[in-house]
Amino acid sequence: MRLSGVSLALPAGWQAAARRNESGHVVLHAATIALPRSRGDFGSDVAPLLGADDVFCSLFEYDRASIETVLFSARGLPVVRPSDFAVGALQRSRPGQSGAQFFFTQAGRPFCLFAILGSHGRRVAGAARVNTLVRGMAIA
Amino acid sequence: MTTAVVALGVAVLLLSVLVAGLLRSHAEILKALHELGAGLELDKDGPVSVTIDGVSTPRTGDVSVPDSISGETLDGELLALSLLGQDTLVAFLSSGCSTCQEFWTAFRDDPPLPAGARLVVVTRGPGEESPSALEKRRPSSVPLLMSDETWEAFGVPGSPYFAYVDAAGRLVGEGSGASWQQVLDLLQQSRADALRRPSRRGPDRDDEVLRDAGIDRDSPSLWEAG
Repeated sequence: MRLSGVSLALPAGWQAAARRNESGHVVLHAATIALPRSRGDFGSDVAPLLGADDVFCSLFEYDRASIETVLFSARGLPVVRPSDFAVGALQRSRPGQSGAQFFFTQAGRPFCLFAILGSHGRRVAGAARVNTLVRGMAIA
Repeated sequence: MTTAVVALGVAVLLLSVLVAGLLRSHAEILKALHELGAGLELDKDGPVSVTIDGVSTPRTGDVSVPDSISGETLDGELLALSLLGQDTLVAFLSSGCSTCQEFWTAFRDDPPLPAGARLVVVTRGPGEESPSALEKRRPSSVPLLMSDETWEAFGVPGSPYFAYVDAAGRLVGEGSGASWQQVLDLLQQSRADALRRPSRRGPDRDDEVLRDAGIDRDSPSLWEAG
């Protein structure tokens, strides 16, 4: 799938949806479950549906003016490690789940990648699934 | 009196000509549809096999179908779904096809599916479909994609049409039917047939991959304790 310079080669077993928000920025959601129609920008409506082995990711684009900030100083799509995930990183904490967020700039565009794991206890496998998804992403 | 009889005669004559013209035009339309291969015998009992590009029986086994499908949703999003990892019934429907109405209705109420399978509805792209008509028919719990590419990738001859892809990405069965029960019967038959066929993505394929890596059935590495 391709939208406004963001493309994704979908890994096996995933579902993804992409749109431009009111500001014209790309919001891409991907999950190992069927995505509900209402999701919230960072998956607040998806998290309750995740099973222990499931993963949700949101790629959220910010305004280009943000590039100059320290927050987006990392360059390129992130490589996710199991230790990046924390139970307290979720907007609404849910038992057993954890999240991680990565701010970065790619092709002169600032993004946040936010990932939710269905089970923090299975974060090694979960992080590997997130990396499989990220490897299929390209931003131009 | 004579005038009335003459007028009535003329009216009957005109109506006869009109009816004859309509019958002739109807016959020409039916003939043209038949030549185009659009005459699906959907009123027959039981599943109907469909001819595609000169193939007289539904394609099965090694037919190549995409690993994922994508299209536009009625909410204006791009949606992509992997066809690997879970059995998927892809229902190709149209808003205007009369036979499709039964399926639109059936899909509103979580239709029964083979165990572990999911249902995805794919219509033609927004250029050839009416999003407003689809909005009235959309099932609440079934993904709906508008995608010309998916229709072309599956070689869909017309709607309604169904393709069942198993978790390994094999096209297990395809065809059409006039009712949801007919499609379920067709699915059951296709899955039973698929179990009797060797699979290229099954054990044979695994053997090929191992052979390509220099590992055959007698390789000690397969049997050594780790």
